[in-house]
Amino acid sequence: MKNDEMRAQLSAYLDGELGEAERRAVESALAASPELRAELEATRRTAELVRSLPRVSAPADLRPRVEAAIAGEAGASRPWLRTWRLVALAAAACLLIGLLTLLATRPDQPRTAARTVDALKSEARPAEPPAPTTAADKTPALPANELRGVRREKAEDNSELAMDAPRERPAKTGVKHAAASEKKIGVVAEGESRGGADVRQDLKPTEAKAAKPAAGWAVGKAGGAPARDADSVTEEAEKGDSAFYAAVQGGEARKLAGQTELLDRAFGANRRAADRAELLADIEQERQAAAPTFAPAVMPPAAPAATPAPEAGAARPVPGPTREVRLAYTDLAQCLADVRAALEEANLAYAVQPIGGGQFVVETTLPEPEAHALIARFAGNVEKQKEQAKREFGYTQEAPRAQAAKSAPARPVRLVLRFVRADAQDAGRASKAAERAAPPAEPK
Amino acid sequence: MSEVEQADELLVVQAQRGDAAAFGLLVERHQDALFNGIHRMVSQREDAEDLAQEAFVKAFRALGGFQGRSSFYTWLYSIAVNLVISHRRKTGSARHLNPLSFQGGSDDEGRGLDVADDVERPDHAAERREMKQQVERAIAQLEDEFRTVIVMRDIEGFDYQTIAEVLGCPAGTVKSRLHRARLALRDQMKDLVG
Repeated sequence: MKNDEMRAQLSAYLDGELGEAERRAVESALAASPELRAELEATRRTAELVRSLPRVSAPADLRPRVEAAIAGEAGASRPWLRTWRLVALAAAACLLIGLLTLLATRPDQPRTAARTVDALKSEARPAEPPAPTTAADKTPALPANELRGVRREKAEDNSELAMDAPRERPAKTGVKHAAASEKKIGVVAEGESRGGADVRQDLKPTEAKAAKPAAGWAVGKAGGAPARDADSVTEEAEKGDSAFYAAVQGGEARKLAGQTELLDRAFGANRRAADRAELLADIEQERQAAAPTFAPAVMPPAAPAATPAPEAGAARPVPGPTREVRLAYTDLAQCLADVRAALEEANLAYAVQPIGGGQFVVETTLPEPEAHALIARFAGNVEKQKEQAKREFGYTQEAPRAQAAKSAPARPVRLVLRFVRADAQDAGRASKAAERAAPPAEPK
Repeated sequence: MSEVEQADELLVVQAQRGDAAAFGLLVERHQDALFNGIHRMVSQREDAEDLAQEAFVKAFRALGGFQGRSSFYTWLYSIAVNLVISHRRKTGSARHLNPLSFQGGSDDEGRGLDVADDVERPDHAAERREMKQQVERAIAQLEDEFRTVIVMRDIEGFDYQTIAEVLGCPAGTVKSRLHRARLALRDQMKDLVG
């Protein structure tokens, strides 16, 4: 390599950025050339002069200025945080349902952490159901607008009749949920801010996607009770693997303790004691807040019962009336797409449950006038339904919400749409007709 | 990962959760280094202060997208470098030499000088002060792209690959640019370099 080329390598050689072969070549050239060695020395001296410059300190008010600028933007200009909070809340709810259901189906496990179980017991009763049943909530419709922007998690199912997890409304202030993930436990808490910042732990996007819908979705029969009520789910959760909760809780506590220790070491004595103490206090507070959070915020597997506010002391909300409608389809994929489009358009929380034989059930809860509108849409008898709705509620389909707002709040109903194959329906009708026509079998 | 980077990671996680206090601590941990780096690239102190503040605010806004592929400081510094480049485009080259911007004030003087030298060997302290100013002048007179790589390598200590990633150019370009930058500096500091 010529000297000019060698000179071009000197800086990189000095900085240790040459490969093995190049380095040896430069060293050979240096050994053979005093000029090159002088050049290297001059380059080294130049770099040292720059490195010897004293560090310029930041102005004393830089941090306050940054914090003031951030405070003005907090919560408003971090859409990623706001959006992912919603996603995380919904994913946490879905994951918790799946976890509880999974645990409930396992054989009973010995309770290995009494404290955790006690914590479960003490918070076994859900603070409130996911539906808008609090006294302060006068809105009859499901607060589906709260779920706007939340992605539904679909079951990994090759079947066309994919089971969709219900979209649940996040619980109100004061209720704490715990969501388990493969990597960590997310603590989703709402409450007053601490030190000007809310403490929320969002599931990361990848973890949110991993949330599974609830398994074993109960099929509500027309007018019948759900297969499992909130109490039985709670009890089963208690009997479940409480060691899991304990381990997770312990792990979370250890993680937070480890954080404290690490920060302690990293910060050292030179840091302002107030800042350090503040951060450690925050961590400790979070650790304490994480302790009783494994209360199963029980979501009844049935569609959320949008009922009037429960009376004081009532254990569970009373489900509203149920309307079941049987509808036939010819094209399954199209039917599913239509149903989903209609429900999404109406911003409703719903669940699709296959029940075999090409049949599936769609459950949702909504105000009665809108239920009529939906039935009309699916059944194709729009005019008939319109007339009926107008008679009963005095509203037109075009402006159901406006009319509902003007009149007394329409009661919410649980709507169960049972879809069957048209040819199966025809065959069933023919079979029933044949049975009616046939003479009764003589008793033996 | 060093302990410093580990502590940064924890604070970043806290800050990503919405803990503004954690981000404040990140600012405190890195404000001096960041400001120093920016000020060496942008001669005017007021501009450097504004750019440093803007870099932190931008980092806060973008924190959700930080995935820890690099250290937090490297990521923060890349934000700062882009701001400096934009600033230069708006205001023209920063080669309007103003060595006085580095003078005066205890901030600029305190760290590099030994107080004992001031008292015992005042001529030595003066000589060092003069040398410092000469080096600063030489850096300030460099072309913008040369100044950037000199600051990133010899003041911030980034390796060539990191510099290349921050600047969005190949590592070979960094190598050649740094070589030419040092040649140019040597020309400016002949009496110091020898």
